[in-house]
Amino acid sequence: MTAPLLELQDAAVVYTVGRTPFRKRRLQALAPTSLRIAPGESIGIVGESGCGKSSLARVVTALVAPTAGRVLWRGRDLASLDREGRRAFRRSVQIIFQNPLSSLNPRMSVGELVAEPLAVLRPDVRPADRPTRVAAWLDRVGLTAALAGRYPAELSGGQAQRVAIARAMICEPELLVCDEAVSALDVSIRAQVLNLLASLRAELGVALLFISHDLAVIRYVSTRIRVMYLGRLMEEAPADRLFASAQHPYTRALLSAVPIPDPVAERQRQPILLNPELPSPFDPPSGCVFRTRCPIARPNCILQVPNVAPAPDGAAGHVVACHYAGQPVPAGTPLAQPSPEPARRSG
Amino acid sequence: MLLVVSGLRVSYPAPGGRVTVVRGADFAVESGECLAIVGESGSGKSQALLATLGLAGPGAEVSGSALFEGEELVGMPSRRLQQLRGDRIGLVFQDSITGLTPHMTVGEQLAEVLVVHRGAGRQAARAEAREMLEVLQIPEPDYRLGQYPHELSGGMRQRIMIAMALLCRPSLLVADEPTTALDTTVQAAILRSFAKLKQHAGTALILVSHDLGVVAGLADRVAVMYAGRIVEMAPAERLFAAPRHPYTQGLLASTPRLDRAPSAPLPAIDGQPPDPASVPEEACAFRPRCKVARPACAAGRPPPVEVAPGHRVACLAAEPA
Repeated sequence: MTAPLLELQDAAVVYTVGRTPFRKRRLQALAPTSLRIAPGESIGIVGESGCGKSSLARVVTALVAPTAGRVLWRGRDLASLDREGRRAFRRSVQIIFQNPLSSLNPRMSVGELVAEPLAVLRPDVRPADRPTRVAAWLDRVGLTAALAGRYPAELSGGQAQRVAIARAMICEPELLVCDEAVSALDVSIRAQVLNLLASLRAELGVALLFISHDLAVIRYVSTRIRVMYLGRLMEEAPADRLFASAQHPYTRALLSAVPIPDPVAERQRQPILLNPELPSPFDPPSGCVFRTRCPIARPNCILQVPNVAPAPDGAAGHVVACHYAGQPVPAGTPLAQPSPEPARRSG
Repeated sequence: MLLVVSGLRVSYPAPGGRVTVVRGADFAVESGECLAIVGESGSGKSQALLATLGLAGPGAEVSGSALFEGEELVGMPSRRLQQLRGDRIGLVFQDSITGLTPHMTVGEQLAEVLVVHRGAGRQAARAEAREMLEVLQIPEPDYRLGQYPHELSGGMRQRIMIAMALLCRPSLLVADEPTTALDTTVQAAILRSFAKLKQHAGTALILVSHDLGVVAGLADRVAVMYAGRIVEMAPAERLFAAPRHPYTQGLLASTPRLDRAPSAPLPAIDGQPPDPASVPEEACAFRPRCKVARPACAAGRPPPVEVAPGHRVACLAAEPA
């Protein structure tokens, strides 16, 4: 195995919420988690609100220090890096967010925005060479040179996200973290940006950590996918394997819940219907955190936290955290019911 | 026909003149039917609907006609519109937390709808509210009625909003991106609530959404909007199986789906959606992004042509099948 670019070793994030000492509550946004990202790899992190995927992104990019565990960059603990080491790290690990407009300074022009990281992180690039690089990157992300003089407010959502990508990529990072980076974009623009990210990875070998709630989108850019729930890892597998034979009931429910843009297929689809009530992250369930919504939970799930273990069939790179991994999960009713229920009596 | 909208135009004041966001929309909804309006941001899909219901923003100019159960909604006094909304027309929006009052229990808010619109007594109203929660298969209805909005999850709040919209047995329910803010596994449950409603005494549904998967599950007919106009309208199965407008085709192709092996790269529509302020009045608005555009597309706006029963397309390249 190649040496990882970045590695999390039992990294956890716990926030303390509430102002007065008596009201303080602990919120474990990310349970102790390990993750290895190899150079050029593309990892997808999928999960719903509160699953810890954004906390993971913040730990990986050192925007938040882990409250426990370590983050290693090329084998060196981030916490031990000196000023120069941190600068090298920032140059190598970049992030783009869901809403590009909130991460672009409204008073800076597109040209200034894209040049800024060069000035801060690449003192070796002479100021005279910056405009050439900016122009090259604007062109690479599909923006015309004429946009360099515009301001963020004048951009469409898709254009603003391209500016954010150019800004993140201009220092030639080795890892690009995308936190819901295409979720706010319209369908036709989303496809353009996904293709751009895929081509950047293919041409420049930049590793991607792609975080999304959308499995259909994540499938396009990831070779390995991790599924998270309430701050914990539920399942991880190579992308093809995850879509072909998911073992965790939560992954199966997620896969089965994605609507299909085809009326015939969509109306016959029988998703696994979960209890829609999410547990409070302040008071997570004992044992398996998914058990309160799990259709196949048994008493054992209340008592014992399931370990992250190899999938029952031992497929390479496939791990699951479930006592009953691979067991059948009952499906729900299709949208179109062949014989509608009798209309209820009026009055 | 329950609702017939014709020649609807909506414009807003803007620096340097008015900006037209809906440029002549025609659609109709029958009792018990689900019409979906799809389109991307700025296509005018929400504006067309809000204007129809008298909910367009300040400064809006609305023209055209919207006949609901024989009454003209465009230009109707706001008092009368208020009576209709919540009674004959139910509304569900994307953001359910702003639709509920934080200091009243769910039961009080649901009952209030019936007290205001139907003059019902508190006790009877509450009983009817409870019954509606049962119809929508919301678990533990009595417990829910006693809860405050902040105690509910997003999915449960959205189901309460649907129940509230249905309380007066409206003949039309309008839902604008009703599941967009929800998690996928929660969305599945909400979609089933909407499907229930179709079995329910003939309530028509207008569903505004950007999500073609959601639309595929519920819609009987689909209207596709682009730059303020409906560019294609067809029965749902036909629209998804045989789209004729290049924009609809592009939209479907660029939607990633889980039931098919991914093709790389994902087919995308080139270019950007137009800025409503610079849409040409007398040319096809999709022309700059269209792969099959011809010179004639710049010369005039393509009129909607019926290519099959109930299937209208506004594109010069679409010939009758």
